[in-house]
This record gives sequence, C-alpha cells and structure tokens, in this order.
Amino acid sequence: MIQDSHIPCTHCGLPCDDTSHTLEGVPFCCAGCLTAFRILKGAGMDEYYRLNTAPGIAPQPNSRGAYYTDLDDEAVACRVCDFNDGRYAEVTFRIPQIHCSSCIWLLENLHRMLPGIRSSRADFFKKTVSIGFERDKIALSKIALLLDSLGYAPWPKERAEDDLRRKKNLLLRLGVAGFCFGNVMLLSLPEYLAAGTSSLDAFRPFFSFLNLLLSLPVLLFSASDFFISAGRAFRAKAINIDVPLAIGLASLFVRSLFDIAVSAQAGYLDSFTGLVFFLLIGRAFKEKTFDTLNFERDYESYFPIAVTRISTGGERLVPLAEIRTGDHLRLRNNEIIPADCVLQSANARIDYSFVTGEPEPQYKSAGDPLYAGGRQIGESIEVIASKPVSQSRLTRLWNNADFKRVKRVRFDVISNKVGRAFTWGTLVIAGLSGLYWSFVGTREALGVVTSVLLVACPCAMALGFPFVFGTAMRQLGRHGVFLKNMNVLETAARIDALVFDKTGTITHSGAAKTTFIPAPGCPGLNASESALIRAVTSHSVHPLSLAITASLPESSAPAFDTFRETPGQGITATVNGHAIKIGGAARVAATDSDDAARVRIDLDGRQRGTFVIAQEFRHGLAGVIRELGKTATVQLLSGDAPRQKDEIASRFFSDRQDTLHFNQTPDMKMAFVSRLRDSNRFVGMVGDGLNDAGALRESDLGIAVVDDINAFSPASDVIFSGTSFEKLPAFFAAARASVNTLRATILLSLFYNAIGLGFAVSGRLSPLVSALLMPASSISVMLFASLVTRLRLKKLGFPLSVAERREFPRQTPVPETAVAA
Amino acid sequence: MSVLFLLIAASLFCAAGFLGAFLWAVRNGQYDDAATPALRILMDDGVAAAQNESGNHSDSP
Repeated sequence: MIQDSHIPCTHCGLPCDDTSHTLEGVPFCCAGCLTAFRILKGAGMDEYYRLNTAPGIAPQPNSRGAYYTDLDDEAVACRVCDFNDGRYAEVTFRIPQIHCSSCIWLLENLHRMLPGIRSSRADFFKKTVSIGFERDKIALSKIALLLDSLGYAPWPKERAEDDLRRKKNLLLRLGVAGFCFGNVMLLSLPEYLAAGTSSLDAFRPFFSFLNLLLSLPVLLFSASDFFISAGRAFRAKAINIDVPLAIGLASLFVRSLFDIAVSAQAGYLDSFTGLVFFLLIGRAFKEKTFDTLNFERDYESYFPIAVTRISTGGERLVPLAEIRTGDHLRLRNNEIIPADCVLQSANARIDYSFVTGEPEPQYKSAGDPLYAGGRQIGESIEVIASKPVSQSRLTRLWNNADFKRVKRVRFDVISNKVGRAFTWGTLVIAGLSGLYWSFVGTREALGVVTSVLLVACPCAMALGFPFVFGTAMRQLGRHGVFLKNMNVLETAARIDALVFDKTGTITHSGAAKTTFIPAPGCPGLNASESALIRAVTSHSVHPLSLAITASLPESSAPAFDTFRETPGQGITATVNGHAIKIGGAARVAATDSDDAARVRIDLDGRQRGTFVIAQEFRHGLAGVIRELGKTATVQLLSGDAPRQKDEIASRFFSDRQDTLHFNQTPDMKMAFVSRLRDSNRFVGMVGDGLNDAGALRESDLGIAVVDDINAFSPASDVIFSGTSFEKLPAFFAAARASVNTLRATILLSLFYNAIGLGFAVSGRLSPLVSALLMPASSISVMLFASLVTRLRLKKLGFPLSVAERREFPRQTPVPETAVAA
Repeated sequence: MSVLFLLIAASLFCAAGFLGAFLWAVRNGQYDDAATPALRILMDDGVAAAQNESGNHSDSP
C-alpha cells in the first residue's frame, strides 16, 4: 500500500502530503498546482503534461502582485516593452523557471490561452519569452498574472543587448579562423609528405602564396582581439596574459612571411592559424559558460518599478525616478517602501527584515518616520515621501564610496603572474640562445630567436583558465551555487576569515519551530480546532501567521463568516460559527527569558493557549561551521538583539562567545569587515540580502544565501541556494581544488614548452615539429583541464550530472516540522 | 599536374562560397538561439490539428 506522502504531484512532481488537493482523482501537492492544472486543462493544453513527466513548477503565492498591476501604467509599459505603437506591443520577460521542453511548449502556445496574444517565442538558453499582443484586447498585467499562476513568474528583461553582438562577433572570428586553419593545413600537407621530392618544387610557391592569403584574414580579423589587448597592456606598462600570446602570434606570422618570401620555405602558417583557432575555441567556451550564469541585476529589479502617488487628480502609478519630496504615496500590502517617508495613516505594520534583519514587523503610528527597504504588511497606508528615491538610506548605503569603487583586488590573478613570468622567460631564453648562435652566424641566430619566440606558447593560461574555471562554474551551478565570474574561484581559494550574518543566513527565513502551549487546564488542540485556526492564519501574510499555518496539519478550509486583520491587534474572525481571536504580542505577557514570539489564541471567548515560535537554524549548521573552521576563522554578525546567544555559542561556535556580535547595523557590519581586511585577512561575508549589501561589497568575497533564487542582492559574488547550504565547506574546497588544477595545467604546458624550446634552441625547429606540437599541447591542455576539474569536483560532491530537470532548488520549501541540526 | 593550379583555385573559390554563407547566416541571427529549436522539434503540431475542424488531420511524425 503506497503511503500518501509518496504520491507525486501530477503538476510539479513534489510529494503530496495528503489527498486534500485532487481533481477528478488526479493528485496535487497544493492549491497552486491544482489551479495551474485546471487552467491548462481548460484551455486544452494537455500536451504540456505529455511532453515530460510532472513538468510544472509549484506556483508561489502571489507575492509580486504590485509588480504586475504596475505593468498597466503607460510609462511603465513603455519602459518594459520592446515595441509599442499603441495598438500592438511586444514585451520580453525573463522567466528563470524555464527548464524543459514543456516550458517552451507552454510559453509558445500562450495564444491558445489568452485571446489577445498574437505570438510568443521563448529562448531556452536565455530563459526569456517574447510576447506580441494587442493592447486593446488584453492588458499586460493579465499576461503577467497568468504566467505567475502557472508557476512561470515573469521578471523584467535584463539589459544585455551588447552580449548578442559580442557573441556574433566571436562566432564570426571562430568561423573564419576555422576555415582558414583547415585549408592551410591541407595546403601544407604536401610540404610534409613530399619532403625532398622535386615534384613539389613547382607548386611550393603557389601553396605558400595561398597560405599567406588565407592567413591574412586570421591575422587581421580573428586574432585582432589579442593584439589589441596586448597593445593596451603595453601602453599601461603592464603585462597581461595576451602579451606573450601576441608576441608568439606575431613571431609566427613574421617568420613565416620571411621564410616564404626570402628562403622559399614553407613557413609556420598552419601553426599560426591553428593556434588562433584553438584560442578562440577557449574564448567561446568561456562565453557559453558565462551565458548560463550571468547575473548582473540592478536593484531596480527588486524595488517595485512604480509606486502609487496620490494627488489632487486622484491616484496614479508613477515610476520610481519621478518621486519627489513631499509626494503622497499609497503603499499596499507587501509593497516595499521606496523612499524614506512619514506615515500619514493611523497605523502601519512595517517589516524591516531586509534592513535590520528583524523578522517581526514594527508597529508604527501616524507621524512616525518610515525607511526605505521596509515592507508594509496589511492594509494599505498613506505616506509622505521625505526624500526622493536617490537619497534614501538604502541607496546611500549602496552608493557609498566604498561600494562604487571596484573591489580592491589585493592579489594578482594567476593569469597575470604567469603572463609576466612567461614573457620575461621567453625573452631571456631567446636572447641567450640568439647570443650563442651569433657565433655561428647571424642568419642562424635570427632563425633561432624567432623559433624560440614562436614556439613558446602560454596556452595553459589562455586555454586552461577558461576550461578549469568554466567547468567548475558549471558544475557548481548545477548544485545551486552561482558565481559572478571566474575570478571568484581564485578569491574563494584564499579566504581565511569568514563572517556570517544571522537572520536568513544561518536561520531559515520563513520556517520556524512552532509549539502550542495550551492554557492551564486545557488539553492540546484537536483536529477541528487546528483546522479552524489554520483557516484563519492562512489568510494572513504575517510571518507569525505563516509559521503557525506551516505547523498545523493541512485540512479542508472551513467557511468564513467574518474576518478582520487589524494591524497591531491580530486577527479577529468567525469561522463555522466559532469566534477566533489570534492575538498579537501586545495581548500576551512575555514571561519567559528566551524572547521567542508568542501568539495567543482565543476560541469562543476564552483563552485556548499560546503558540511559541522560535527561529529555526539551517539543517547541518553545526557541521558546516566546524568544517569551515578548519581553514578559516568564523564569526557571526547579527542585527538582532542577543537572543539565544548562549544556545548559538554552545551549539555551533564551540562556546566561543567572542566570535558572536549582536546589534550590528549595516554600517557597523561594513566597518567590521573593513577592519578585518585591513589586518591583512581575506574576508568572506555570508549574508542574505539588502541589509548586508554594504558588507558583502566590502568583503573580498560576498556570498548571498537565498531561499528564493529570484530575490538576491547584486552586491554578492556568489549566490548560494538555501537548500545547498550544507555544501558551503565543499564550495571552498572546490575553489582550492580548481586553483590547484590550474597550477597542474600550467605544469603540463611547461612540459610541452620545454620540448618545443629544446628543438628551437638547438636550431632544429622545423614547421613540421611546430605543427605537431601546437595542436597537441592545446588539445591536451583543454582535455586535461576540463576532465581533471570534473573529476575533482565530482569527488567533492558536485557531480556534473544531476537530475537535469531541476536547475533550481525547490521554490516552495518542504516544511520541516522536526528539527534536526 | 599543372591542372592542380586550376583545381585548387576552383575549390578554394567554392569553399569561399560556403564561408560566405556561414558569415551571412551568423549575421542573419540564425545562431542566436541554438538551444530552443532542438526542443521545438519534439513538439507535435497540435495547433493545426486542434483548430482545424474541417478534418484535415496532420500526420504525426
């Protein structure tokens, strides 16, 4: 007999906890999935489920409603749409949930579900969908809402038009280089095979001429990037990795030109074109990896794009940039406060978790100042902006001089170090061998010098770097670890001091350990009472209500008679004839010392008991901190009051209370990190959101731990999904392993260079040797780099092949009612 | 053997034609999205079958 918990949801595949959500016998895990299924079935879109098993994504409760309704505002629509002539418009949304062919099918068949949509085209790789629709037939917000209810919440498209041009350019260069390389190789074959026979003499000049002709586009077009970059470095009196490459390429070409024109020999043009071809392949690989993991996001994607402004003419949506001091604004439930303001309404409940880390909302009354970054919970409120958006405290923190400045890179990246050593080494060897051979003859000396210059190839850097780090980035990405760019791994390998934020980072934001303490003399809650309470709390977005809802067993929702949620005074409701009062903190006397939140429940007029809600620490936290402590010092910074200080110290930090710091404001956190850096430590900061933005930027490596992968902070260098938190120590080990693999790749390349230089210095470097050596070293370096990295990361727990269908962690966390730490 | 001159010239000319085609294809945006068309192949032309009520059934591939 199969237990209920093993039945997978037909829509999203997650296990169903019970059978409360079924439609004609088909099981679902939640109301969201059921609704999505019903919508699709009603529109005749069954193909969605035929293409893949359980292809859906459990839709999030509509927490972005404000964003969607804002889309109907004309100014916002103009900004968001690619094309808009008043009647027909095209909009491109970014849909990170796209992960399989069913998603593509669904997104390209939207016209079957909404009559006003003319066409839609999805891009699997970029995770976007471009929708053309008729504005008089359908509103943009309706499209967005439909997408949201199906689990494909749309986000504004990121501005990345230059990317496409760059990719095209690279592809063109690669194509030209490949074409010329292939033909030059063919034309050079007779030279090697017919060496010595006279039948070749008639054709040699012809083939050489053709080779030169074919090498020109490679020199002038395909390889131009390397020369330009080397030239720039030269002018800045520095040496980067492109300098030795440019020297080598130039030597190859010039020497070949000389050999062909003057000595009627074949030249090294096949090595030349081949080298350019392989280098461009390395570049293309880097770009491809980068595409999947690019995440440059504006903070504007987080703040609502538009806010309702109240004026004499009525209420209007205005874009953020238009808000001035003195504007009357209306903020609805869950909307984020865009600017510092003063509260006009009688009461407000503001959640400042993104600013201070405090998960419990603060109750404000008329006249109180409210700060940007907070969120209004409950009824809509009226406020007067006291500062325009650009000066609000949060953006001030962000625009702080310490952030705008590019992170001080305090160590030279390996590639630059190697580039320098390589260039000098080559020049020295060339000089010495030239000197030696000058005693024999100038012609030989020149030959040897150019041979040395052209055979010395820093392919390890040029190829090893993108392949090692690119492969590592991909594998880490499959397991919920997303890096900003490849240099991050090098930095991560050097971290010797870690600083953790508390709220949302080491604790779950959202999950909580909730226990019910019955009033004296009363028994525990029975099933019907639980159902009643749950029915009430499930309609509130208060974090404590969410915690209570999650802790009570799911059941069919009884009917409501009345419901009123009063900010500051809890919820009053009547369900099935029973009066329920769910009280706020104001009605509960705090008696215990561990200041957990307490919510009093009154049923039918008498007190029934109290819910005690503690914050839950992430699974495996103790192990993570212990592992990390082996290679770095670990400290905790928290914006909270020192609650649970002793518990945290003893459970996770080996009782070392000096590593815990509480009551830290965002500025204090930044200063703390700064001090650590000044004492010559490499600091990694692990935080979760906007309140850490300053410290994340200030640190050498900023890691943001997020449970909803769409809500991250742009100040971080690494995004860690909450479900992969236990892999944090493995991440650092992987970074170190990657750097070691890179070093090994350098050694491999040195081996090839030694062989090549041996031939060159002894004056025996023929085009044949060079033609064999170049591709051999390039290909073996590429293979070595990617295979070794793959194996090492697999051993550390990041195998490349994971159940392909999930590139993201689950968005709806599976409720853990038992705590296992 | 001197025909080789002509042959090589001719084949290079032909090959250059293909290179030109490649360059045109890239510029035309045909390589912009390499992943999605692979998924579209697997989808049936359900639209035509569902909306066409006059009984013109599309053959399933």
